[in-house]
Order: sequence, then C-alpha cells, then structure tokens
Amino acid sequence: MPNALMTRFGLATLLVLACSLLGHRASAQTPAPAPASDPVEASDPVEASDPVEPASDLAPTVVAVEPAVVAVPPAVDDAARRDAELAALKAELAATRAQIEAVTARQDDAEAAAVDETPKQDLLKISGFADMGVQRLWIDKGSLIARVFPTNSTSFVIGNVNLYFDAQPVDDWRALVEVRFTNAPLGDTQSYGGIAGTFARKDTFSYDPHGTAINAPMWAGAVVLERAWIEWNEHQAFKLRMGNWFTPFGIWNVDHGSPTLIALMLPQFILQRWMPMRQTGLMGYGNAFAGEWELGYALTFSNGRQELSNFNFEDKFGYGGRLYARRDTGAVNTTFGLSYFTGTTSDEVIDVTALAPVTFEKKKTWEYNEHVLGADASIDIDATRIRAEAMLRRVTYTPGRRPPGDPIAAPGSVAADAWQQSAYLLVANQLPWAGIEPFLWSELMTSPSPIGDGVLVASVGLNVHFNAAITWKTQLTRVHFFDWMYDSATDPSINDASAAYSRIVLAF
Amino acid sequence: MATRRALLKALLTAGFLCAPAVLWGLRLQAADDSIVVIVNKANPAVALGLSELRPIFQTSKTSWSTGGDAVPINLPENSVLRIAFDRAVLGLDAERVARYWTDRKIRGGTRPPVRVSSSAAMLKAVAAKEGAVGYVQSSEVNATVKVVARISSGKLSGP
Repeated sequence: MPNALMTRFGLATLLVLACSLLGHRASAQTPAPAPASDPVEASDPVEASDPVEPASDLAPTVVAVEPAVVAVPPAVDDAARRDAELAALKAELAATRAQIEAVTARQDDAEAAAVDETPKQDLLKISGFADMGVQRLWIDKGSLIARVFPTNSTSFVIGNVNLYFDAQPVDDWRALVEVRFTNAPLGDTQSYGGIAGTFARKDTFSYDPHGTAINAPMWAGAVVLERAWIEWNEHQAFKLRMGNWFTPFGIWNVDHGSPTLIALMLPQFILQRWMPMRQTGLMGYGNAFAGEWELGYALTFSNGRQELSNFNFEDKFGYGGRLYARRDTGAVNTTFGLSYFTGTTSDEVIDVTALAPVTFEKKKTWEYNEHVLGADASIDIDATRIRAEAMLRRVTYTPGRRPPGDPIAAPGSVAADAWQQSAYLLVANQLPWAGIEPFLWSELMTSPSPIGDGVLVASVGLNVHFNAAITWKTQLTRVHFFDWMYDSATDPSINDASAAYSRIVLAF
Repeated sequence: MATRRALLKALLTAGFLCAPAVLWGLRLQAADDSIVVIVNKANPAVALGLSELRPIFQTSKTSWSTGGDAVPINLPENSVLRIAFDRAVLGLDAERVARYWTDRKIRGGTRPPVRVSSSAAMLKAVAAKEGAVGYVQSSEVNATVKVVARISSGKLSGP
C-alpha cells in the first residue's frame, strides 16, 4: 500500500509540474502576439507614457514593440509552433492523467480484493495499554493492615504494561493472547520473622548471564498470562471459545483494563476474588436482536477456580453463565445483566507414607463449594456514565475439610461457611470542556472477617481524557471497617484507610 | 484610470450582490450531495434503518436479519464522510467513536469493520463482496451497488 501511495504521490507531483509548465509557457507566450499584430496599441502614446501604472499589461508590450518588428518571426509561424507545443503538452498531460487514474483504479481494486479476503487484511494485530503513576495509603499505625502491608508512604508505581496479540488467520477463527509484564514479585514478604521464623523478602536480583560484564545486574519479573483463547465465531448466535478467558461476570471483570474502567481502584469483590477472575475451559456465547435490543448470553464450563493449580484435581468442574439485554442508541446506551458461577474448589496434597516400597498418599486438605450471583446495570446518557453491580455469594465447606482461618487476625481458627454481599454505584459525568470527567463511587460489602464484617468504600475521582488514547486518572478513596452482624474483638475502625491513586493511562 | 476604477467598483458591487446567491447554490449542492448507504446487489434488503445498521457497524451484529454474514466497511477515521456517517448511525462524534473501539479492544470484543481508503474502493468492495455494506456520497454512487438508506442533514432515512 505505501508503494501505491508513493506512486500516486509521484504522479500527482508530475501532474502539478506539467500544469505549472503549461501555465508558465502559456502566460509567457500569450501577450506577445497581440502587440506585434496590433499597431494601434503599440503606437498609443497615452498608454506608453503613463508613469502611474507601469505594471499594466500594456507597459512591457510597448517596450518590446520596436525591436519585435525586426527580431520576431512572422506571427503565423509563431502561432503554429505554439499550437504544436500546446498540443504536445496537452497530450503529455492526458497521458499523465491516464496513468494516475490507472494507478488509483489498481489501488481501489486491491483494497476491494482485500475486503473480499477480510481476515488477511489484518492477520495479526498487536495492541495494548499501559498505566503508570504514583499512590499513597494512609492508615493508623496500630492497624493490623499497617503492620503487614507497606503504608503511609508515597510510591511511584508501574501499573500495567499489557500487550494484546489478536490473530485472525482465516474466516471464522480468531485467537487472542493478552500478557502483562511486571517486576513482581520483587520485594514481596516471603516469611515473617520473630517467633514466626526468619523474615525474608523475595529478591529477584541476579547477575545478568547475558550481560556485557560479569557483574551486570538484573532483576527478574513475571509475565502474567492474562488470557489466551482460540475462538470459532462463524455464527452470531453461537460462538465457542476455548482456553483461558475472563469470567463473563458483571461489568468490572470484563472491562478489566485501565483505559476502559472509569475508576482506578478495584471493587472489593474483585480484590477478594469472590468469583474466579479467569477460568480455563469452554465458553459458548452469542446474541440476537429484537428491535433495538440486543439479547445475549454466555455459558461457561471450566476447571473452576485455578488459583492454586492449572489442574482440575477431581472431575468437579465450574459452571456459569450470563444473560444480558443491551440497547445502544448512541446518546443512550443501556445494559442490564445477570451472572452466575458455581464450582467446587479444593487442594490436594501428596504425602510419602513409606519408603520401602515408596508409597504415596493423596488427600484433600480443604474443599468448599460456592454459588455466586451477580446483577449489573450500565447506563450511558450522553456524557454521563452510571455503573452498578451487586453480588451475593454463598460459601460452604465440606465437613472435615475446612482450611485454617486468618493466621494473623485469628490464629488457630478455621474458615466458616459464609454469606457475602457486595454492591457499588459509580456515577461519572464528562464536562463539556478539556475532557474533564469527575466521578463518585461508593461500595458496601459484608463478609465475615476478624477486622469487621462490614466495609464501606467512598471515592471521588477525576479523569482527564486528553484524547481517545491518553487519560490521566486520579482517585481519592476512604475505606471504613465496621461491625455489621458480628462483633469484633477490637474496634474495626482502627483499620480505616485513605488512599490516593494517580495514573497516566495510554491505550495503543 | 477613472474608467478602470469604475469598472472595478462595478465588479465588486456585483460580487457582493451575487455572494448570497452563490452561497445558496453551494448549500443546495451540499444538500444534494448527501450520504447514501449501499449494499451488495445480491442483498435482498430494500431499506435499512438504524436498528439494523447501528449494531452491524458496531460489529455486535455479524449477520443480516435476512441471513448471511454482514460485512461492514468503513472509510478512514479522519474522512469527513466517515465522521458524518458515525454521527448519524452510531450517534457518536469522532472522539467517542475512537473511545468506543478502544474499549471494545480492551475487552477483547469483535474487531471493528474493515476499512478502505476511498469511496471508489468502497464501491468496488461493496459490489464485489456479498453481505458488504458501506457508504458513499450520493453523487458517487453507481449501478454496481444498491442504495438502502440515505443520510441528509445528519438524519438517516429511506433510500
């Protein structure tokens, strides 16, 4: 395509030059015959002696008249020569025009053919997003959170560096891989010291074996496979996706990327992974239209949660689905959805119970079943965006297979069956100037916890959309812990925290 | 000199007097040069409304209501025709269209429509590809495609 454009540009330049030449020659030659053959103009003493308008068309003619009688060939010969030159230039111009039209037609044909072979037009697309900035968490030093996590300090952060590889090699088949690059887990607390043992921090430092010095330093990081799937999408009403995909649950988990999410901080039900954020397995989905309403579904069949292992330890799968209705008129875009997930999650350990002969024994250490139901609404009215999600989760442990409770807040305890609820409402409005979009966000969560079973989150934020690719996001958040249904041993509000986040976000 | 000045004044006066008429004529010409939505001639559709065109150009609808794959074709984002079409059919200005596709990409949704660089290529592509749908200026349309809708003054109407 660039070659075609360059050819087109070259020919256009040639055309312009030809036109300029034609115009130059025509303007240079046109005035000459008139004075030579017009004795009245040539001998007009008034015009010739007029000092006020020397730039008049007639002025140079007067100067050229007298020698022209001797030097200029007969007017008839001149006219014939000029006509011949003009005809030649016209022919040259016509040929150039024909060339340009031929090249343009070939380019149009090529583009039309490319559309006919749609997937080949963009065999592989690489895109992604990145966000970087600064953040700070303020919290009472007596808080349990402050004792464990880094707080009360300002830190610059590399947020997300995500790359998408989107391949569509043939009709009706597509693959998408999203990876995130991070320097984690550098610096994570590996173990606590004192009576808990020896404190250790994860250190990913090593000497670069490929460096140009034997002591060249490097720090390793992780590449996170955010998702990787292959999809067959021949039919709008039923498409099949296999691999590792984001759980189609509500709004936040699918939006997931900082350019698309309105706020920076994640909701508690995402942070606490109330449903698996991603699963490995099969997902069938599709949609149909009823007037202006799009009705869609997704059904999932997977290994369930895979936060400990990529394997399904038993034939206990995860099942889920989503139904939604969407109406998008441009100015008003409304989506309502219901999501569900259920599955059994367990851990399996392998013990060596004898050495002669070597005998292995597998056993389940803990196991629970969960049901998660979610409802969501997304409403865009002109420059106002409203998002709301509510979630209800029930967790029941298999008798005899309860894991230990929180080892820090409640050492020696075991996990209990639980009902968990959470809901949030976010309202954003983009002002008519400078891409400024303030937003308010509030979230309420109840879940049994040793530091208060109620959490209320309130945020105020400001997004500045410089353009479609770059946004500056800032958010101030206050998190309040309180006792809702259970009484904590200590005042849970000591864990109240304030946080400030600011990121520059770029999508490409 | 006096004659020339008089002539110049007369020309300027005539120009001022004629300007409204010229502008009115240009406006009429612009109105006549509306956008037409075109489909392949094999497409049985006679007229298409927003409820069909919008989801097809959002790529959330990939099949025609009458059957067969829908292949929407766009002009480049900075094309005046594209901007007018997006405003009328998607209801979005250029910046919001760009954000719409950024969001779609982040979510891993269906790709945006394929793109051609000129109206001539659009005509050829729609004429060649069964299921294709695109748009050109009404003055550019020819018999190789079928007109199923028209956009005048920012509003979509029948052909």
